[in-house]
Amino acid sequence: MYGLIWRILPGPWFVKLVLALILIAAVVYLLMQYVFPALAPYMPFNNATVTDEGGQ
Amino acid sequence: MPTPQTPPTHPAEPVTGQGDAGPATQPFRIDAASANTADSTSAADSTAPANAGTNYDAPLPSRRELRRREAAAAAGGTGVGAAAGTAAGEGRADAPPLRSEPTEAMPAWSQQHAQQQPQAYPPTGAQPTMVQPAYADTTGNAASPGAGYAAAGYAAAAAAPAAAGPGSPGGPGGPGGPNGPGGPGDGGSGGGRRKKQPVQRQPIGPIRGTIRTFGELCITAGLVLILFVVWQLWWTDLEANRDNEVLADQLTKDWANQDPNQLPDDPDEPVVAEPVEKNTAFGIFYIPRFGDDYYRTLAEGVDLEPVLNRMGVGRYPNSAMPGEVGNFSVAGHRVTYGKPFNQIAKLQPGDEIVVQTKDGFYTYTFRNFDIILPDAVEVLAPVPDQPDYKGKDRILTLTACNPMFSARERYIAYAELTEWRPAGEGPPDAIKDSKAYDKVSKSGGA
Repeated sequence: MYGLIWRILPGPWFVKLVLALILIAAVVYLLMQYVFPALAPYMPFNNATVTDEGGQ
Repeated sequence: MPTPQTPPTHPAEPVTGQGDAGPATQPFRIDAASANTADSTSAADSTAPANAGTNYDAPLPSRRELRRREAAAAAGGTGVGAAAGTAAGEGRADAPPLRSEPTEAMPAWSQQHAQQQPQAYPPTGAQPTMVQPAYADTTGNAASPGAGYAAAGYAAAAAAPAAAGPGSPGGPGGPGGPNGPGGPGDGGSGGGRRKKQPVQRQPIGPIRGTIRTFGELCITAGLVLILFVVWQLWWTDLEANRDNEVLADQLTKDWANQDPNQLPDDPDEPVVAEPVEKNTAFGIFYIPRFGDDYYRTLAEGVDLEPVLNRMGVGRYPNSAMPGEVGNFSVAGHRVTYGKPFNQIAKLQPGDEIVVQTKDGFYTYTFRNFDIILPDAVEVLAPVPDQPDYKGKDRILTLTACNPMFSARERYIAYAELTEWRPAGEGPPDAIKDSKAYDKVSKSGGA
């Protein structure tokens, strides 16, 4: 998988490296900005309230 | 290992080998065997003749693998075999005809030998520089059959992906040097180039490819989980703390531009403001027990987004307002998202909790705590745990999860209003000199 990505990236190795780092940064940003906040409410330690439904 | 003793013995050995090789079939075998002996140490001597003699089917560990590589190399690029042939042929050019005959007469055997050679003497391929001088010393014709043949063998073996070291083609190329300057050297370098390609381009099978992809996905999943933990435990705190500061600044600025509510006639009676809209900040919490620089904004509502996750402490919508008779109830995270109530269990009776609003400062004094189940909403009643009574006290109830990182229970802290100061009179002593109040009041007009 990663080998395939590396082969698809154009240019010499340092261009590939820069592109790969950009890709990694983009993935991390997407995860932290959108994916993790969407998942966090389902985590067990984020409930601080007292409600009739048991703190949801 | 082979180097030290080879130069002296080498010239003599092939001569005797050829001398013994009267029959057409035998000589090359013996010749090669003796060449092996010349190449190698005495330790390997016992295996080489045994292999060369009779038992080709001896269950050697990596032989099947070598044969598979040989077949792959032959199928993948005939150029390898051709190059080996030319390299050997050029080596043979000025050598006795005896050598060319067996090579063609016994291709199967030569292949066999080519497979066995790197296996019987693995270090030979790994130490080409040491083998090479041995051949270079023996410039006589007698050495060339073994050398040329070994070149072919090495070239074939070198075609096997990643088995032989990168130096191995150079080794066989070297021995030809004395015999034919151009050819063998080309063969050696060509072999080196040719050897690299199969290493890079050789496709891995579907099973190995699947396993590799699966492994990569597993590693990726692990990294994503680690990233999630980092995000949850560290990044959300950073974000929430930053939001908290920005929001507090904004809030105090807004207060400076707003008229405070009318003070009640009785100076001891606190102002009770109207509830603000949902998800709007309207107060600031100071809890000196949690730290001299502790302050968190207070907003309306207890939704995770945006109040609890980004605005600090949230007020239960149907509870009392600060200063109102009844139960002013708020919720806050105990871990993550700025963890406003992280140290809620450190509160001690008598600790002061100051709530600042546009109208002034409400000082509550901590009385006791409780640990309850998440659905025990009666703690939010005007008289906690007694929903049937109306009560006449001004109570503050903090709720947070308990234990930390769990939703099993809730930690409840009860406090009671003990002091009220209008905004014009300045902050109470509890927070007057604190860093938190300094910071908040510096940017706003409170």
